[in-house]
Amino acid sequence: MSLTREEVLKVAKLSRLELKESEIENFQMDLNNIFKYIDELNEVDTENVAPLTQINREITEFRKDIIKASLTVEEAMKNSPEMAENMLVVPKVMGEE
Amino acid sequence: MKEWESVIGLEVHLQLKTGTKVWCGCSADYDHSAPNTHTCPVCLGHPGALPRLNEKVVEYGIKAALALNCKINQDSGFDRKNYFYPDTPKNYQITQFETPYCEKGHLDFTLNSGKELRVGITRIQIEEDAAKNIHSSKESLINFNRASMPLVEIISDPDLRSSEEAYEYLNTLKSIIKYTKISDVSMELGSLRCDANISVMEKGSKVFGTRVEVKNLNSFKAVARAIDYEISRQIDAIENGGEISQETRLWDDGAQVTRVMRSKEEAMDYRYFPEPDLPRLIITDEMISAVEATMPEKKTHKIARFISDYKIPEYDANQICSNMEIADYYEIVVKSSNNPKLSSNWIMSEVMRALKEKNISIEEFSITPEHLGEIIVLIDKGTISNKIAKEVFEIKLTDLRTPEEIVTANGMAQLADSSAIETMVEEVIASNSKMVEDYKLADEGKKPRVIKGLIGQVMKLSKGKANPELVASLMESKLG
Repeated sequence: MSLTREEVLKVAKLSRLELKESEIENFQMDLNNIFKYIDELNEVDTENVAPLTQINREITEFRKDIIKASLTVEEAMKNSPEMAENMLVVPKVMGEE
Repeated sequence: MKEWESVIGLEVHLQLKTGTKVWCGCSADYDHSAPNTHTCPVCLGHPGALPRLNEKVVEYGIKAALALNCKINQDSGFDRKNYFYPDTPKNYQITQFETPYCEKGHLDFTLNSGKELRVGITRIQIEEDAAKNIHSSKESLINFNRASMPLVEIISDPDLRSSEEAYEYLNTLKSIIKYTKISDVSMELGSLRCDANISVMEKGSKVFGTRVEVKNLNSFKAVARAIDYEISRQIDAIENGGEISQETRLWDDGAQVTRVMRSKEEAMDYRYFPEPDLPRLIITDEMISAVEATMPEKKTHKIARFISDYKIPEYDANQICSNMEIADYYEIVVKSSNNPKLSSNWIMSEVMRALKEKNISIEEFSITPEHLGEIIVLIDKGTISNKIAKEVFEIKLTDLRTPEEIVTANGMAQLADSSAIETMVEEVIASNSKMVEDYKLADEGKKPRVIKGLIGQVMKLSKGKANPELVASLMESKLG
């Protein structure tokens, strides 16, 4: 498969990236090279092989439900450019999600 | 005119009542805490911080699965749902997309009409909550205390056909989950949230219409109203030649309407992919049986047990078990009263009436089950009559003394002293010569009616405290 210019712009938008004209072309080329490589991988017959997303499939190590100290508000908000009422301030957002 | 049928599926998010958040050791009990006091590098999404799954979340998840008759996928995994929004510090939510830990369950309930319904549970997935945004006029403020709180999302099959069915589904789900104690299941506190997927189609059609998702539903009543509104909005649109577009709408509770929030074109592209920072979620047979051992008894089993063990009628068992906490209350009353039928009578009449009048739940009820049992014992022993027992019950609603103390303090005990009653019987016979004469002249068949009047006179004289059976037998022998 190959990626169109529009698809590159869409992915950039979803990733909140602003691309210069020259970058669009470069990314289109880079991404298409990656897809070419994936196409090669796709030639392998994996019909009866279950997808593997994790190497360690035997044990799930759980965390005990024990409370640990949290950060102080000062520590937690140290990197925030603006604070009000102990909360992080961001430009107004509307609606859900 | 065409007939329409609506198709509704519900997505319910439950916040789990664990000690810590889902991936980190921050305390989950943040309700009365100052903003941003329950955070750490993990739930703030700092680079390099790794999530570790809370054992309790899995335990509670299994409880939800068993309570809703689901199949547990013993090998499931987590995925990233990518989107940019300030309430999600990592810019993705960790959820279960490809394989949820649980699927294919069902929930049974009965509608007011008596119709029984089984609604399928498509899947339940473990995921994390988002931070809370507070919007002011100029800017948005973010409190991360809620970020990465543990949630399970319960998705129903599109089996519901009306707002009434959706309302009952939610009530049943709430009561079942409440009984497992894994969540507060309170819409007011935000520990239960619900979105509805609604579509309409021509009656009898096999193909569902285009569905609309409705969010911002703040109460079960709002869910029902939003469904009714959407159904008629969609039917109107189609009948007027329009089309329903797949979109997300918000319920406006003030205006009682839904409004477009996001059109199909603006639909999110979440680009899900497997979460590389978490191992697979392997649920062993041992984990499932350990949880099974702690599961509360199922309602149907409880009803059957009440009928066979306590020998109460099916009607009583159904009534008592309609609420699991009332069923628990009943069992303690029986233990103390040793009279299962009288205990169910009292709960179905006096207790349920008092709860309804005060609009409270059984857990908030002022009379303990032990004390109600004691009142019943006092009736059984003949210390008080049924009528006096109701008075004791009324007093007990606001009185901390034991029923026995109340009976003694108010001189409410029945007169079981036969010589005192005998005196009263003689007094009534002496002052009601007309009735006595009537009794003696009456046919055998009419005698019981006449003697009832005389017994009533004795009861009045004793201010209701004479033991009626004793009065009757003394009266009969005196007149004999």
